[in-house]
Amino acid sequence: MSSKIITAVLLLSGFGAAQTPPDFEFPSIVSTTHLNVSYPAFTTDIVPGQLLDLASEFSPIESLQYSNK
Amino acid sequence: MRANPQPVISFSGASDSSTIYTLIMLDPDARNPNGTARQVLHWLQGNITSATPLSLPNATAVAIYRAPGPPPEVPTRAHRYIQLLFAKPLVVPASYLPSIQARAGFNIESFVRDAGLGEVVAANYYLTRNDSRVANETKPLETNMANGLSVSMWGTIMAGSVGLLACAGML
Repeated sequence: MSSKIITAVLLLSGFGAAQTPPDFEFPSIVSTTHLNVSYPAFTTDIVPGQLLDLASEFSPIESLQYSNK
Repeated sequence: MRANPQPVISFSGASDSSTIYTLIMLDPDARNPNGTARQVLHWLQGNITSATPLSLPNATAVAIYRAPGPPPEVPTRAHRYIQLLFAKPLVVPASYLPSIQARAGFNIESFVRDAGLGEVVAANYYLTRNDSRVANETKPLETNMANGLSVSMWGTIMAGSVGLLACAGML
C-alpha cells in the first residue's frame, strides 16, 4: 500500500500538484517497497507524504545558503 | 521537531546479507534563482550493508546527510524530501562529482542510469516548508500600504489646495 502511495505522489505529484509543477518523475519507483525512515527526535517513523513542521530548524542563514547553492 | 541528526534507515526487503546498498536523499522541488526547477542532493551514501537498521557506520558517505532547509518562498510551498534505496554498490561517475559537491543541480535520473544503480528497491518521502518569509513580509506590506495611503492623502491635499487656489483665482 505504501509503495502505491509513493508511486502516486512521485509520478503524479499528488500532493504538490496544486503548488508544485510535476517536474520530477521517476518511473522506477513504481515497484518499490516502503523504506523505514526514523529520526531520533521523532516519536514515530516517517509516513509517506507526511508534512513535517520543521520551522524551528530553518534559520535565516541556513535558508540563505540553501537558496544560493 | 528536529531532522538532525541523520535518520535511521531500515526496510524489510533485505533478502541477501551480502547485498550492498546505496542510499540517496534529495529535494526535487528546489528552484534556481531564476525560478527554474533544480534538484538538491541531501544525502548520498554507498557501501551500506544489510541489517536492520541498515548499517551506516561503515558506509561511505559521498555526500554527508544534510537536513532539510527549504528557503522561504512566496507563495509558500512544501518541498518533497525523497529517500531512495538501491540494491547496488555505489560507484560515482567522475562527471557527477561537481554536482554532488555543489549539492544543487543534481540529476537523479541520469545519475542512477550512469552509476548503474538499477531499480529503486525501497523509498519514502516527507514534506516540509518554510513559512518565515510570509511572517516577515507582513510588516513591510503594512508599511507599504501606510506609505501608499500617505501618498494618496498627500495627493488629495495637494489637489484640494490647487482647487482652492484655482477657486481663489477665479474669485
